[in-house]
Amino acid sequence: MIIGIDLGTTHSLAGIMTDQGPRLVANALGEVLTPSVVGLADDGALLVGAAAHERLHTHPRLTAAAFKRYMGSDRELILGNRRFRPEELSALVIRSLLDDVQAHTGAKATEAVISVPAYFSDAQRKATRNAATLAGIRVERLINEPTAAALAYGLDQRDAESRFLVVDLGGGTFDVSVLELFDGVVEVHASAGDNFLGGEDFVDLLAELALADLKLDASTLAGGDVAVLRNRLETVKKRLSREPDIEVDLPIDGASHCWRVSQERFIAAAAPLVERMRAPIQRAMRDARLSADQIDEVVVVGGASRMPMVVRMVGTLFGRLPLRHLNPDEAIGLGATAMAGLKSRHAALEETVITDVCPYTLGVETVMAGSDGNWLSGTFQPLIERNTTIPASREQTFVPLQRDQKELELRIFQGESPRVANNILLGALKLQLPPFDEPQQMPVVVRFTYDVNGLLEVEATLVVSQNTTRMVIEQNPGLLSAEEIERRLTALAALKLHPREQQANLALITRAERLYEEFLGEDRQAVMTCLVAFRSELESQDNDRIRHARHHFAQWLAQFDQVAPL
Amino acid sequence: MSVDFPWNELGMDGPGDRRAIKRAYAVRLKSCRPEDDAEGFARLRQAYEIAQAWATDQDGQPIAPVFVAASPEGDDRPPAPPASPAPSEMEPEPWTLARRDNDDPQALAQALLALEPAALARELVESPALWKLEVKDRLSAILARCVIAAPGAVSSETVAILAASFHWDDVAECRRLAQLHIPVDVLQQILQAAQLRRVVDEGGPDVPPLAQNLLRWGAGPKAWAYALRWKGAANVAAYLSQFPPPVARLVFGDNVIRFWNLVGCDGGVLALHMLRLNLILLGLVLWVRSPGYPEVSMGDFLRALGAPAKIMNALILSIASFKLSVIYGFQPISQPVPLGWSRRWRLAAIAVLIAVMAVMAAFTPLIVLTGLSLAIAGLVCVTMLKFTSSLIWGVSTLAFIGAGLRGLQELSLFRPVVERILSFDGFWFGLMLAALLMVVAEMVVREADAVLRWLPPRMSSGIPATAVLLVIWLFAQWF
Repeated sequence: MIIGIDLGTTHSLAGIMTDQGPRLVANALGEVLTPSVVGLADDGALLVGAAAHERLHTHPRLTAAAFKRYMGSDRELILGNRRFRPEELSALVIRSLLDDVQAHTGAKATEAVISVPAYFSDAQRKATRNAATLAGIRVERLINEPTAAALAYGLDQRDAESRFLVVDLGGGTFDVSVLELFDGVVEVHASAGDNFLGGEDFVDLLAELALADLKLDASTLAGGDVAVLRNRLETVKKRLSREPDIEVDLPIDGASHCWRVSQERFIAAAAPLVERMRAPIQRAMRDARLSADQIDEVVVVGGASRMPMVVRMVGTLFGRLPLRHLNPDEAIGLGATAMAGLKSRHAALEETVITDVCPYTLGVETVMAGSDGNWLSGTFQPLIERNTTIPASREQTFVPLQRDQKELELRIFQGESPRVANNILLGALKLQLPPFDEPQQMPVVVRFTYDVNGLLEVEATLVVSQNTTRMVIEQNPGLLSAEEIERRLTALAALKLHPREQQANLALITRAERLYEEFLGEDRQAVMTCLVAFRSELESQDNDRIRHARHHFAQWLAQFDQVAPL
Repeated sequence: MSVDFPWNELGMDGPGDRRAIKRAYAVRLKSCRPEDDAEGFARLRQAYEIAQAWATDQDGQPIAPVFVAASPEGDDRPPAPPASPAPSEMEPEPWTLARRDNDDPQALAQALLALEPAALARELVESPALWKLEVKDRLSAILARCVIAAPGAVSSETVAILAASFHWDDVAECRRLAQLHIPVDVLQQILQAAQLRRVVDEGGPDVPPLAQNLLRWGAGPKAWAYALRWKGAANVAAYLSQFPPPVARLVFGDNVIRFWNLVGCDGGVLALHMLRLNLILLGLVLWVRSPGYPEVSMGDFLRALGAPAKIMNALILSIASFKLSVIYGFQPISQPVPLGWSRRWRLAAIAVLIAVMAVMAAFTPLIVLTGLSLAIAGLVCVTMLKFTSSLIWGVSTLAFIGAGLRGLQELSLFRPVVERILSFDGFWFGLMLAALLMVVAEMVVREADAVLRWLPPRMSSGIPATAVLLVIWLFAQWF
């Protein structure tokens, strides 16, 4: 069974394809959205999801969140006395989702389609694959998030023909895609994005404003306080979409500070962030060779796109209000699931085909003759330009620079700058050259083949001898080697995840613990009393009683909590 | 590929309109999916893109990109489609902008260039005219041309803002500009130079202090002092060689680059300069030991040296001659003389020897042998090193001759002859004047305003500087 997974910065989802279309699978708490947070419980087992999210505040050193931003890098996060790479944390989230799927369907998933931001680099995509491997599931296809959203959108519009733009502002990444829908074909024309722009940045902004107003220094706050602050401000951010003025209590250092913020102030302060969204949109439009009036619809997805300022910006650019009938949190998960269905040739999707593009330019380093006769080294010569429909295969002929050259080194880069110094090195290929008189007599044909799964194969052929050297761009710094993956796989498999059945209870307990930390005085005592009562109910081992107690407890806590439930 | 390509590949009977092409493509795509058949899909896709360019209902730009990729087989390329209309060269066209004044793009470009960087950044973001792609494209080309034509006229901050806004560091945009015959490589150099300039100006922990100092020193005395340090000049030359020559020239200036290349290209060259400086100073020391002070003790010597006018004199001449020798002295400097290590050690040894002998000459009354040997050593140096073309050597040579004569004076055999020569009151005066005139002649001939660049800029042109030097020297003679 192939499932679809949306591995988001703040939330993750999983879904399965049914005859009625893609359906998302609920977790142990009955929600389709699982927070992408991993924590270490007191007994050494690992927590994933809502329970871990609550523990961000009470046990900040034992919990990790937003690790999607570190995928593809070497950065390790420390949980207690253990170090985890971002792939491993993502693997734990995926494992939790797989458990949910198994609980829902009774069968184990064998393969998954995972969504990644369209603008994820090669290294980041490989890291996502590694995360799936570490979770014990096969991933052959990664789908770009805006394409997934487009697929979710296009499933309802089978007979339509339109060109539309998908704007996806998630928790940590921003992606834009220009697509065309006709006769069941979903064709991506261009993609662009910003891997470091998302809802979290808006929360950071509110934190800056709050700390500046309260005249506090961010570096003096304890870890737990920071988590509380961010949690509260996340709610503020959501409420500012509807209410013009918010007043909130921020507990810092044991004291409760009252802070006000208005919608206008937030919008004014967030103007630079919104401005950053403009450049990728314009670039995608430019690469697709379309003007605003040629776009039929604009679709916004992603949790953070609920903010009116985002909608307004997009509306101003295109002269019309964007469509928001898709649930912004679920659209990508549904799209990934649909892709899984497509891959498994589900009957419901026989008429749909997707074509996607590669989001970045791939090329080699060359030396070119400048306009004043100088030789310019470090020039980037593209072979596969960005937004070329994949799979793509392109070739070009190069010659060595000097007469007595014995070796030709092909350095393969990914990026958009005309100078290789600003691009990312993917790999290098060395060719031995036989002796020759003139450089023109020794042409080398270089062919790049980029497949749907984002794997680049480079072939260099010496024309005179017809010798071909092949290389598949596998290894990247910051990524794990195959042996490393094996080793970590066994290590990870040995780690215990908290049993699924207890997750609901655990989420409630951790939530209560968080509130205990946040509150002061009488409220605190009340929370403690109820928590103790709940724990004693758990000891009774009677499922009905427990469920009853849980329900009441949850309701009671919800009245207290200023933070809206996820 | 047959003549019916792309239509047969799409399953069409002949050319059709865009809708028909899309429908045919969609049908074929179902059986030739990208993940199943990569090569087949590549062919289909190519056919689709070409067909779109040749659709029968072409009204304006086709939707899909029209450039033809290399065919998968590598041979038998299909005929290229008609290219999309490229923007023509800079002819003023009827232009409507969403601006109040309805400027034409040239005027708009000029107006933008005239703005301060902060205002420019704001205008580029807020101006609704620039939200249209065609406007932005035209402005990009015009502004690129302006910046290339006069790189010094546009500040590096402005260049950086324009580059960010018009994506001049994007490979697709560079290709578009190159198609308009804009020298994109020069633009890249200017961008690099602007970047470097901003980094150096703003300072910060990552900027090597060397870069900042280079900008401040220019090619003045501090630069020379640094150049004389152990490996000083070599370090600077190595740092500058990291940048492409055009970029380095734009940021640091032509003169500075030339100076450091000359001084820093070879440590042996610098050793030679130092040797020469040593010799010149030695000559001057000997001149101080003029007939006016026949018996000079250490105290007298120091007192004589302490005379401020003479010190200034010595300083001016030595600095001037060093500078001259660096820039013009060694011929030909553009092909630096390769010095083996043995030769360098020899030169260093000679320099040390001469310094020692100079000190001895100042103190010991036994000037006979000292003077003679110095004179011979001087001549040997000159001939051995074969720098006869340098007029500066005239200064040191004359000094040695003077010292030699002075030494000969002690020998009773030659005393009368030498005294006759030396009794000429103006002998020493004439000696130094002759040397100075030679310096002057060289400066005038070789436009040596670079020599005295350490003077305020107004005075840096050759002839006034020479006059000043002469006046100072004459003034010093009265004391």
